[in-house]
Amino acid sequence: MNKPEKHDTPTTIPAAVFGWLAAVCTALVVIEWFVHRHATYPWEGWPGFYAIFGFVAFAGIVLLGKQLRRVIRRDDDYYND
Amino acid sequence: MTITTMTSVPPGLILILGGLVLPWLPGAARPVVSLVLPVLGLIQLLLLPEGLYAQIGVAGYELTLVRVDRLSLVFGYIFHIAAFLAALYALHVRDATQQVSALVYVGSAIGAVFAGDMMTLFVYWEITALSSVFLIWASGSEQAYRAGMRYLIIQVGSGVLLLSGILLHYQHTGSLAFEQLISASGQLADAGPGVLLILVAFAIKCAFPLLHNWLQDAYPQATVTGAVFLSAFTTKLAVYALVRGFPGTEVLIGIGVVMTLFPIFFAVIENDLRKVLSYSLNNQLGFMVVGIGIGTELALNGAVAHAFVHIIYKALLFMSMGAVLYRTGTIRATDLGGLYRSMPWTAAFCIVGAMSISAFPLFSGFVAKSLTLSAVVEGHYVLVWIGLLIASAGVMEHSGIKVPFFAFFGHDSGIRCKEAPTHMLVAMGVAAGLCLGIGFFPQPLYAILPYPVTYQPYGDLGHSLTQLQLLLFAALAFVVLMRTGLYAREQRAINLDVDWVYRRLAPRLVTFAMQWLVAINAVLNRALHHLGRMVIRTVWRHYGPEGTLARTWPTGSMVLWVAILLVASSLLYYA
Repeated sequence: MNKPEKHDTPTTIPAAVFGWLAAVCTALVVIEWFVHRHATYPWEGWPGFYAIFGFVAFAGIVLLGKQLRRVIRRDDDYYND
Repeated sequence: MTITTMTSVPPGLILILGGLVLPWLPGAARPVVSLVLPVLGLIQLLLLPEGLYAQIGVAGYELTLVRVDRLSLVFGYIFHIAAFLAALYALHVRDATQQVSALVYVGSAIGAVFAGDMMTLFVYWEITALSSVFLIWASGSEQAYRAGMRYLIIQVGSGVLLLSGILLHYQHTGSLAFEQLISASGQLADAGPGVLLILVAFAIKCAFPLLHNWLQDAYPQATVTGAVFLSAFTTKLAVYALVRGFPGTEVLIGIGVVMTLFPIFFAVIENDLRKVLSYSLNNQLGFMVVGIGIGTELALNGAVAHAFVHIIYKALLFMSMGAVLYRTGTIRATDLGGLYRSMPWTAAFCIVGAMSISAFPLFSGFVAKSLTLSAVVEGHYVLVWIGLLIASAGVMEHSGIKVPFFAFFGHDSGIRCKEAPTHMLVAMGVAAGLCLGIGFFPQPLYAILPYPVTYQPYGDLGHSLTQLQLLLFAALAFVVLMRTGLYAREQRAINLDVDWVYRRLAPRLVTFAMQWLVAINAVLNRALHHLGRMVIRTVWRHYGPEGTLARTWPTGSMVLWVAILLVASSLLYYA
């Protein structure tokens, strides 16, 4: 009981959403060349720093979270209350 | 500061007294009164000049019941606004217990931020704990009862620590005034034991790491409307208390960063969406605690502004998830999905809240969080800066994407329900409007912050651009992980947290100790029994029916022995 459940129709995100989001993201990186940025730390000036940071941080959080789940996951009725 | 006698009741008392007479009003009038009282309270605040009021002596202690300054006012304003929005959202509730406890809870939180001395603060502090637990118990389930009990014990415990700290501090300094308690150095080593106890009391209510779990344990068990009230007041009262008592306390910077980071991993794998919001609340408090720890005017403004906007968007998110729970009867990500068809307005308002908390430019979170981040950059806290940036991606993950996505989009759960009731939609609409309004026009918010603000959130276009890059590439990562099947899929399960220590480990230890005691007792009993038998057996051998000493002697042998004795004595005599 209480095994991980697979939905009948697994959650997917349409390719179109991916396409549009990728296009907007690309545009944001391109715009960076034309906007003056006030960089306090040197690495802030690297092209695409925030973009890569956002992607890597998000993926890292999710993948680490999955590892955490292996340790602390319990059945729904674990505490029996 | 001028000292004046109070011509009106202290702030907050209007709501407390109103709450106490509420049960005697007709049922239909009660929700309306709950709505009108915060408005009256807010009007009172707008008319109240800064100063110290109602100074009285009680049992030799000098108390200042009311202190009105810029810091208490900004919290006073937002507490009244939150009380109004939550009362509007709860307009359908007919349960007098919830209505009374909500008003008393809100009123005491307001009273606490205006308390001029720590004894008054303590009294209000405990009333918030005692009144708010009814918002959890009102759910009526066994689970809610137990979670509420744990919540009450921890909250009252925080109050007991506060009182002990206050008394020690008074013994040391002879002052009860609630002013800055940490010395200018900002080092805890310089603080007395009283001040440390007070800090621990604040830390519990502010859900510091390892002291945090009462929040995620209790809030998801509260009623649909109760969670909206709870999300706004308790923890932000603690933030106020920290800003007042511990600005520039260096250790808070590190604690704050940890606080922004650890809840995001729990939020990723949590199935109960109101619990996800509770972890998210914890993460947001971390940003405020960092600002308090840095302690510059810019940083403290950041912490206060963050508390202000956070109360609105977090209430909005709890309202939207509450509406989902109200209509569908469940709040588990595994059971939800595709609700945008049935609840389009709720979905839209939820997305506004999600974008605000994620700090998209032109939303309220952005104009507040930018203050704190600027203070971090100004102070050259590089590691803190990196930590907060990771935490920002984390906020995008759990509140920005996970909550709206798994409730309203994702796979179609097949649930077809009615849209949220009108009064709920209006409350959510007003909150969403405030999120956007503050995001577009931050100046009115900046004008009421404790210190003057020169910061221009939109002055540097590059800042908005990089923030958008961070958030949208995070969203891109979500889409990529979903499409490749690497995302942490929702699972019907619970995850252990610190509450395991007092819900499982401690009871287990007690049971274990009891079993040992029983075993030792049994061994001792057996040994005693054995010893007893040995004694009895010996006595039996000598005195028992067959014992030497209990043998019956025939009369003849007695005469013989007497004769022998006589002969022996005569021989001795005549010899």
